[in-house]
Amino acid sequence: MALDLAYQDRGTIIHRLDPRVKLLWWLSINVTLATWNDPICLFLLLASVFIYGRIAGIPVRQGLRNLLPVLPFILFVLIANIAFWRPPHGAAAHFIGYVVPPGTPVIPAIPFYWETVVFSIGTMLRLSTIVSSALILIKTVSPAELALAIVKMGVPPEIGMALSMTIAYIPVVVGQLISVMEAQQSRAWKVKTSNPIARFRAYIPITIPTFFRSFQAAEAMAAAMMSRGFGYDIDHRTELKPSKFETKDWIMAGIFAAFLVGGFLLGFLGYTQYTFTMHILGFR
Amino acid sequence: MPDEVQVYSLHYDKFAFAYGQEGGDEVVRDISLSLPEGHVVLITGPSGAGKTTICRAANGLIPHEFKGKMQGRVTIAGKYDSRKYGVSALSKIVGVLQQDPDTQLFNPTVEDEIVFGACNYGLPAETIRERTARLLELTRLTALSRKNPHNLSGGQQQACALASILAFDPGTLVLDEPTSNVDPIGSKEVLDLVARLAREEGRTTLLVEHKIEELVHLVDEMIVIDQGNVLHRGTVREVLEHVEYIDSVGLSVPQVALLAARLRRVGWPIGKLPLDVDEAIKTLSPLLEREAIAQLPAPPARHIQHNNKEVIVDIRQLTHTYKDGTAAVRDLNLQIHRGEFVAILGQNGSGKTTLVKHLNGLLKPTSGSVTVAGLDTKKASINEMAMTVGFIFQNPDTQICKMKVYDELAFGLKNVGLSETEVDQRVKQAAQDLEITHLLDKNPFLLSMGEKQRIAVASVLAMHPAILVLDEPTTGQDFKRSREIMDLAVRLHAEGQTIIVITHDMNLAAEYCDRVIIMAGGRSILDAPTRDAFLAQDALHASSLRPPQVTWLGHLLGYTSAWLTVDEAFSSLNSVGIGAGHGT
Repeated sequence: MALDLAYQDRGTIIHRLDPRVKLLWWLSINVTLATWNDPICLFLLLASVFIYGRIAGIPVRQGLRNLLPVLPFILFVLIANIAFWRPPHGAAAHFIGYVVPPGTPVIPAIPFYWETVVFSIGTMLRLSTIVSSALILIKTVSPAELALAIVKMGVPPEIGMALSMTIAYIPVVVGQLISVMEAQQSRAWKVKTSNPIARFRAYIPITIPTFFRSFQAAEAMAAAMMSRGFGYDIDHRTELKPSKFETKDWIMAGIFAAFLVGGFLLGFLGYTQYTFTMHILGFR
Repeated sequence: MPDEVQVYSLHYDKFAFAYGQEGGDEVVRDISLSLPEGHVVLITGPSGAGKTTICRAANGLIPHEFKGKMQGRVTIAGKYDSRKYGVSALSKIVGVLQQDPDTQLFNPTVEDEIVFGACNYGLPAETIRERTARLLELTRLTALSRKNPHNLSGGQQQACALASILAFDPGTLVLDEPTSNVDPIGSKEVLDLVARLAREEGRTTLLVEHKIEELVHLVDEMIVIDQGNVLHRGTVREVLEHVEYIDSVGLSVPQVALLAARLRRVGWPIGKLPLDVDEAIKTLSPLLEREAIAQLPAPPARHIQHNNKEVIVDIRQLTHTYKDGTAAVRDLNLQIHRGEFVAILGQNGSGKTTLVKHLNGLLKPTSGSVTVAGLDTKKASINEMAMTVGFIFQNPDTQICKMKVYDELAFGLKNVGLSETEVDQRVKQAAQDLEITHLLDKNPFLLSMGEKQRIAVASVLAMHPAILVLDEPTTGQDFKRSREIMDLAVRLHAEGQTIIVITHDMNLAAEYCDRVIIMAGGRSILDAPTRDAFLAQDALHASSLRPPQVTWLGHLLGYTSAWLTVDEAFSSLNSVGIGAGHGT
């Protein structure tokens, strides 16, 4: 499981791309989705992420399985949207009913609209896309390559190395999470509720020891990095495999750059807003 | 060479350190230590003795990264004051390897891991490639160079971490318990490598270790510290003259040295204490009549034998295959009776942890069945399994999740839905049994590691499990703390508790357990009473396990049964009674 989230050189065409191209792919997805909130468009975007992952040798089932741990957070976002998000033109919105009726003591009334449903689904898909694209990036770019790539893009070397080490740290944390879950299951810990808030609370016995151990591990890892010359003279660090930008990299970079610009413009001009799905569903 | 002109690779001058901005209690006090070039110095001592602090000071992690109040001076290569140079700069001269390989491996492949430091120091690419190839060969990792380091065995991980230091060729090595998480084969591999580097390449080495038995012929100087102070220092032979005292403060010592010291104390004419089994044979043979030893009876059973016929664990044809296709346990049959004290031995990857995770339902059989106290683990609920099998993990930090010790002890009990009264009663009883009643209102995160371990054990015992499983109680622990946990297990066993210990520590299994199951390749290759198991040379050899020193000594002296502890060997030899008569 821990290694599910680590870079593995599967030798696919994606793995052979220049790390900067893969970073551009990730950016194109994430910049685009920041301007989109339509569930159909976001579903297609998520599907494109899984297809990219499949080409990189990552089974779709594995991609979906990796989303399971963040499911409580996705559900939490859904609830938060239902509670707090309102259609901008309330009078013209399509009212379904009240989640909390007017006149309830203490809690204000919470109306529920078709727009809320559509928008919330979009938000869930957006969160899923963010997580999936990040995981695929982690699995297809070696942390060391990533550091070098972003340093070449002008990012300060210290930040590049810190980012790469953060990614390398993920399998360690996941390994710790698994051992903590096993220890708590041995004392009858289980998530026995479908209520997302109670579910969120049920994870506290897992979160606290994991954070505590992760903090210890981070301290040890930082000491290990320093003890191996991290930051000694980063401008003159030896590069064993200097990367070259080849034709395939230029082509893929062109495609991703075009997608980034196109996706951003579509979102910016309002074509990929939730109203698109509302229209398809017949709401005017 | 006069002392004032001697250039030391590493020199501690009245070094003292207290962690924290406020500078609390000093963990190391007034330590002076000099490592001439090419020397190997061993530091040993119980947990909290200050060993890791000394290692951290070698390359400037103290005072630069770990904040606190430092006194005295640490000088590297005779001229670099650790206060004035950064960690990265000093590490080029002093390579420091820490305990836990997991947190030292952060690159995607073994090869990337090894080159990381050398690249940071800007060594020429060709030099790095040559060194990497040589180090891969030296550490026997060539075939694994493209593997993720986290996929390696414990010994291979430590060898990889060590190679990653050697790649930039520091003149001095500081190794902080390099075998603490490693099985016997891995330990031997790592220590052999350290020995080769020290002897063949003349590398100055500061080594922190508990496994003195393996190092007696490697080190030039041995230092025993406790609570920040030096207790003894000198050559290994000089220090081990105090072997009984060192044993009494809870450190692991060579069994043959301890045995000889005890015989000497009762009048046997023993001059130098032996450091290994070969020396012990030479020392003791002239003082013994082999015929008398051959006729010595087997020592009596040490623990209460409950002789309960009830089968509490019934495993039939168990096979477990992980998702990646690894068959960790194959076609295993095993029965454990109520009240037994069983050790499951084997190297890393032999399948012992996979096996015991089936006992409380953490893993389900791929095929076959596991029945525990009448419950089929495939069908039993988490509550049922938690109330039946108590699992004590290596590291208490894995499970502590509450801000109050009382709540920590009540955690499992509340999870299974016991009433408040029942919870309160059980928490207080468990706290009393583990002598932690005074801690019930404290925050467990602020307590010592030993106290946390007792809290973790109490929270499991409060569930009143029928079976108690101890997962590697010696890994990452010092000898004293492992003993504390095992002594508690003995107490519980005396009350009728079934105990299962997973370990690769032969001395521990020999001293405490009544039955030994040796696993290799996912199968049980030996299942026998402990004394018989340690006489089964073929099975031990097949699983690359070695019996305790005293067992092997007895075998070489012609004893037909097996001594499992120093006490047993001492009683037997003393009863033969001729040793004291020679030359006294």
